Amino acid sequence: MKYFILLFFVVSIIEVKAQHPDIELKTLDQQWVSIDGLKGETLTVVDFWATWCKPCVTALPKLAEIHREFQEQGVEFIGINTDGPRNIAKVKPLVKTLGINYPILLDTDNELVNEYNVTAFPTLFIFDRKGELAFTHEGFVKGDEKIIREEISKLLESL
Amino acid sequence: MRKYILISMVLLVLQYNPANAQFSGNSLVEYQLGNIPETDPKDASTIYGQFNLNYRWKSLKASTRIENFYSTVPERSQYTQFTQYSLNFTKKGFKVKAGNFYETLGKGLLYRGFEIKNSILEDQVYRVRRSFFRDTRGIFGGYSNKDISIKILHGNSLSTELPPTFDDNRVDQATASEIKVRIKNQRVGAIYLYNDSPAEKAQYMSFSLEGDITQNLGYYGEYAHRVDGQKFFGHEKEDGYGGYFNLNYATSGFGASVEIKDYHNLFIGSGISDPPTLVKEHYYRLLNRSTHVTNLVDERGFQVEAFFVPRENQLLTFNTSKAINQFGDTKFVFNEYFLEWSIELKDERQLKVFGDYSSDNLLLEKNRYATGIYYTQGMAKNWSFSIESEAQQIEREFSEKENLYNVYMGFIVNKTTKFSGAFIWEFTTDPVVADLQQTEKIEESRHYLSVAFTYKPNRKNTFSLFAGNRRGGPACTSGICYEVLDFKGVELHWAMKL
Repeated sequence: MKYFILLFFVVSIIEVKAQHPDIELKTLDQQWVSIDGLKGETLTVVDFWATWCKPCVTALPKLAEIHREFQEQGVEFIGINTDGPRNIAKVKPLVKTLGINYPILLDTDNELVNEYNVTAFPTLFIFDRKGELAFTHEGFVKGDEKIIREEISKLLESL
Repeated sequence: MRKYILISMVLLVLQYNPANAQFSGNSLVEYQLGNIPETDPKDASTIYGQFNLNYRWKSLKASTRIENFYSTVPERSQYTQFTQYSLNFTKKGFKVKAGNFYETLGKGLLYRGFEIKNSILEDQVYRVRRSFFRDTRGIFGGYSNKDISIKILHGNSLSTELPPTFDDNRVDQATASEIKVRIKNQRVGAIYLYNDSPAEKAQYMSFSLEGDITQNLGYYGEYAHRVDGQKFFGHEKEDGYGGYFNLNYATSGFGASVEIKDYHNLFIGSGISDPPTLVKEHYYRLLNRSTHVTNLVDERGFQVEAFFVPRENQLLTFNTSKAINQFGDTKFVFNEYFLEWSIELKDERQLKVFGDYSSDNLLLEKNRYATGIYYTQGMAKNWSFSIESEAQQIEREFSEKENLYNVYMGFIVNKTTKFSGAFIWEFTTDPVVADLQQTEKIEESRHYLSVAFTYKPNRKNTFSLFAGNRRGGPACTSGICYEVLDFKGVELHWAMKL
């Protein structure tokens, strides 16, 4: 119990500093890439998702739409698929069918999930051009696409 | 080992400039007041807590997890334990992990680690709550670049059947290596596994081939076999082997995957292998519960899934699967056909409709029919509501033929993901579930009524409240299936992020 209280205390007082790990993941085309190599000129939107997660699949076409809207302004999207062996075969067919035109990386062993402290799906992060975390959004319900769109516009204006 | 890693972690925290370092972490606390329905004491009080703390400095990362569980019922073991601790190094394709880590070799035919995030598992026997994962405690080394990837691991795999209160819950000691080499657009892979468990020592090998035939057509094939005293391509009764093959096609507006499996005596140790099940993991509640669980003693079959966009803002998903278990002279067959139509309508409306037919003669369920409609309507100021409905009819033939019904209804109100309130009703006439063993009378049906609220005051905190009656049963998340217990009472859940 004392460890538990101690850790709780530590968790509540420490400050988070942004730092990106040097983790490389496979793309749908079996290439190894890191997030840093795919980041946008202005903003980078990273979406953690899985095929078994209903809100994740609902969000995908919306995110593709937002990506098309903001791509010319230097906003890049990266999808991090977290499916394990059970569903991984369906990822590429689903992504291509929906016309997702941003890169999808496969995080089968949850390496990036753990690195970014993701505990729910979908989770979406927006990083600014310095790589600092600017926005986090967990889950996806009707209307969330507006919030994500507004947040990107707001962040672009502040650059 | 554990002390060494903890001390190293503290030293890292103290020694280096915090500007170059990063803490991350999260915690989870869940309080329950209640019990399995009609089980004494009805007002059992339990609390489960989990803390995860990570510290990264450049390429080094130290992590620890502490879990605890307390109950007012003395028979349910209580604990506070460091259940995970690790030191990781990652740089330019090199990876070294010491302590607890997750690793999957190939498609998991021989070895798979996993974690279901934010999940709390409670088993029927010990009634002890814990997080749900299967990791390895040991050491891992790996390297990958565009042409080659290598993995080597040695450690003890966690048995998910046993709670942390068991000292000996890591009975499998695995030593394994994997290599994958790229030759043009194809990758050739090989895996060696030696597993030392109390029951037996066993060696396995597997070979895989994956790649793209054309830009739109890809494949993956893996064949594994026990190699100590068995012929690699032998298919005798006592042989342990597994084969998995996948072909996928994808183009704009249409995509499909075809998978084939053949597993025989592939349950390794206490269950370190976890090959693809080739059964759809449904997100619809009743279908998710009616899943088929792969039997690694003997199972073969296939799965086909296809996606099609008939018009803009629409998606059709079709799935069919078949699994055959041959136990001696008896053959059991599971098959399923599923079709879903998802439509984005005008004025912020969304509709999902599905139909499903399946049969599973291992469960004596000859015909299962299910259908459902999910409707979501967006409203002003980012509010929305959803009406979810599912119905299922099962023809079960035990001593005599019976028809039973399951119904699910949900009414959910959301203000984006900041707030949600749900009213859930479930109903069943399934005697296996409806009739409570604890009561003398025979219950022919059961209702499950509940309310659930979620509130996120900020990005760091999420509070959830559940009150009512929750139906348990088989559940599958993240590709893993497990058993959820029925619950009647109140549950408060708080997830916090650093």
